[in-house]
Amino acid sequence: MLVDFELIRRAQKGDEAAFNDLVFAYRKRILGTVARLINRPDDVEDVAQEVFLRLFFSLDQLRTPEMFEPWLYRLVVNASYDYLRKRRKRPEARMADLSEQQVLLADAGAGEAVDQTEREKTRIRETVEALLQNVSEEDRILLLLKEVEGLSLKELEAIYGAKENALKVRLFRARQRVLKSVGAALEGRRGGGS
Amino acid sequence: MSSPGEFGGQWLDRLLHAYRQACGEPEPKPNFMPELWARIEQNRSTVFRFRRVAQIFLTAAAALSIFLAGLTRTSPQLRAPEVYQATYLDVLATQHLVEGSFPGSSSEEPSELDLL
Repeated sequence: MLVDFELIRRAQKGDEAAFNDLVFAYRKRILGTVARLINRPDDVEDVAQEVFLRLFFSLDQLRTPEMFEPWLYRLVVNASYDYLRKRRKRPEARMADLSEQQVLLADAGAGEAVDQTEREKTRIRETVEALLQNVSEEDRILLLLKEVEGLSLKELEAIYGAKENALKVRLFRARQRVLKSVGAALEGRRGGGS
Repeated sequence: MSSPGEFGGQWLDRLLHAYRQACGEPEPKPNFMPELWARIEQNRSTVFRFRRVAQIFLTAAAALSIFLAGLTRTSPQLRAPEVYQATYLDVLATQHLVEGSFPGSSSEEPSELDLL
């Protein structure tokens, strides 16, 4: 938790200064998460503001301050879905569109002793974003929340209102799909080259 | 270099970890907070206006119902006909009376002409 429960309680009672502090504490994290979920840098601030706007009008419905973070992440997921629904036109990059260089770079990015320059960072971002196009929007968001944002299964359970086992299965399948597509792309390129 | 067989779970974990580091957390623009509060205010005024309209509508509806209820009680023309006010027993009794007074009904005593 980035804030104490007392601040959440005060914000729930309508204390605007407390709400301001709450936004101030979480805005960077939420901006980062939204940026990864919607994949459109120009609209990140707008969606993040929408999240905090929804938070402002729904905070009184939060039963316990302990549930604040899952509550906030649920708002993030919902606002991101709404945004993506409005803008259905996602870049149609498929695994087949990934160059071998990108796949190899992804491999390098996965190495531990990689000094990430800005250029490499951009390439890793592009590669992972292209990789994640191989799974559905729902699974992509779930995978990002778990593996990149570092949310626990318990937190995901609270966000999605789904059973832990069901989430595990979905995550496993999404990971398998991503791995399979990487392998297939690399195989295809090697097969084509020989 | 990795072979396709090496693209396992750990490889993906490392890649996603590298992705997390590559993304970082974007800095909010200086007008993030003022813009957010402007949106909150705008929404709040919309909600307030909607509530006010709803309240006016509710008050008007309640006043109209009371007025109509008073009107039906005081005005004899608007009062419901007796048939709607009668109980089920009253209706049955009235029906029985009507049936009993009908000349061809079975409950009528035979006349002298019939006996002849």
